[in-house]
Amino acid sequence: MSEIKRSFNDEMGFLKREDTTSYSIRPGFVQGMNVPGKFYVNDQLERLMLDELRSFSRQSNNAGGFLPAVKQIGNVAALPGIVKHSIGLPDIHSGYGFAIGNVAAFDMGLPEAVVSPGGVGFDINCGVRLVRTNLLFSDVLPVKETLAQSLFDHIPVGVGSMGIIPTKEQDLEEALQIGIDYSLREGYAWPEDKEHCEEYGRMLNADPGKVSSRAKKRGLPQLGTLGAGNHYAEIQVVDEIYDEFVAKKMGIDQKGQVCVMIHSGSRGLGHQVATDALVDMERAMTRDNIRTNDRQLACARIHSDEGQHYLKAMSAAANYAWVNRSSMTFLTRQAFAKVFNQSPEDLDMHVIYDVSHNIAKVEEHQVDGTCKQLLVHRKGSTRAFPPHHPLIPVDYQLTGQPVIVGGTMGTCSYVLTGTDKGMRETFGSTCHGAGRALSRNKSRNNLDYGDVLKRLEDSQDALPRS
Amino acid sequence: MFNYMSPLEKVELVRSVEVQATGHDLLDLLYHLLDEFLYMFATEMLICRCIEILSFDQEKFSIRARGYGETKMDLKKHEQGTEIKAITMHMMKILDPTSMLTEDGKSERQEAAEAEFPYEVYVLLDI
Repeated sequence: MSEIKRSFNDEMGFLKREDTTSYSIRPGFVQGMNVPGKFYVNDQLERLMLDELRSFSRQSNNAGGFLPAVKQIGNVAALPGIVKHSIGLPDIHSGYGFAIGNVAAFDMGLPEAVVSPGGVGFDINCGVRLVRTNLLFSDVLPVKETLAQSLFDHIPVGVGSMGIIPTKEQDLEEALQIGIDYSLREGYAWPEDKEHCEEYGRMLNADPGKVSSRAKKRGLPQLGTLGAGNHYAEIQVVDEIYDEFVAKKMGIDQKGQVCVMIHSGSRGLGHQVATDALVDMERAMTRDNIRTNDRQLACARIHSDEGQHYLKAMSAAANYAWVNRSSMTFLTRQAFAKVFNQSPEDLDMHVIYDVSHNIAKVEEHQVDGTCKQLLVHRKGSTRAFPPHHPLIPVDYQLTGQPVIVGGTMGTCSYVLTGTDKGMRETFGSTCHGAGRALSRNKSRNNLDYGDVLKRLEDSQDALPRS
Repeated sequence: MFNYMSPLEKVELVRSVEVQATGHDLLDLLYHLLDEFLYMFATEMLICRCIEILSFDQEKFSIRARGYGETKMDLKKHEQGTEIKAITMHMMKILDPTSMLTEDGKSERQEAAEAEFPYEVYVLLDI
């Protein structure tokens, strides 16, 4: 659908700063908005959002590339069945159809409500897992290089790497069906790991039969690999504790404590599932008379064959990612055990929590005073449920769900907890970190490879080789 | 494309693999051809140094090609480059000596063709 080009000032007429941390987007900003938009930014992030909009309004034609994030929030607000508002979290930036950091919930009680693979992301169940240890920085410092090398030797990483835990086609089928329960059965996960994992490490509506053989063929050799790009396994040191009670509940009791953060997803399998679904749904849209502002917002009625097919395949891909993170947790435990000559149990390498930041979930939320069942799309966004929520583990009932926000290489990561306010305002969702202040293109052009290495060197991190 | 994943100078011409692709137009066909090679890489670690076109039907938009290189990327021999996650159709351009084909249709070339490479394609890859 072609948009009438407006001046930047006219565009700004639809945006209103609501308070120090949020903006609203009035319907009319793009065609057909069913609900308003809302995005959370401070001054610095506001500048990025508005600069992007300004450049866009100056272009004579769409030179390609994604639409500005604010426009994408608007286009998502125009999807059928969306409730309350289309949400942009602080690390929001343009993506395929939905911006990354764009949350949208759809009323499952409405027949026109849709599900959209672009709202989940191509890397289904890309997520972060935080593993604690009993070690302090002072224990690790003298063996820093050996430990880094050990991790490298144990965890397959980078282009061309293959999983080292032997897996056959039948294993993959089971992994897709039962997720972390597969890892548990095979001896790669501890029972407690399951407790501290979103969805308890397995989505029950998964159906491996809905995953194409092409996706499976891509997934099989990659099971147990870290992947490349912005995925990582990082040894981290606790720098600051802001709430001792909460930290202790998570197993973090002192500054200088060493943890490991694993950021990874469903590799080529998830990607193929998303691609397959988009093709499928584009076909169905004409049949079901669904129109969107952007071709990349391909979607299907939640209760249609295509919609259900995707959700079942998505859940299977999510299960794959949990098996992957479990495999890497196992390998990380082995790597540490080897260097410190103690068992992972003695090192107390428990999983603090495992969060997904590319997924769609069926959840109950209050909408205008009524409890409704919603399909919540979180793309580049983490669930953040408050204390006493029935879906979070017993251990975290008093504190709220741990929310792991990973930083980019060389910057800090954060562990937060979910709040009631978040539950009310954003369907219990927050940012996912490892977001971009510079677009991928800009960082490639502006960040000198040598500079990045030198800065890491100066801050005493062990240098990765690849 | 393969050069992004690993510098091609170190790839020998040892094995070959045949792929085929079809599409509903030329751009779609190019997308599927690249995707088939990427799929070969994902499943068999195939790195191709050169490609031979076996048959190319420009009316029916189908193509058969053979890639020559090595299967099973050997991490000791082949440097690890950037992983390519996917081919995209974003801003895809196919240029022949006189015209340019994009999502919006055929138009005149904006810059003259280079004598050595009269045909060019531009494809955005997701890394």
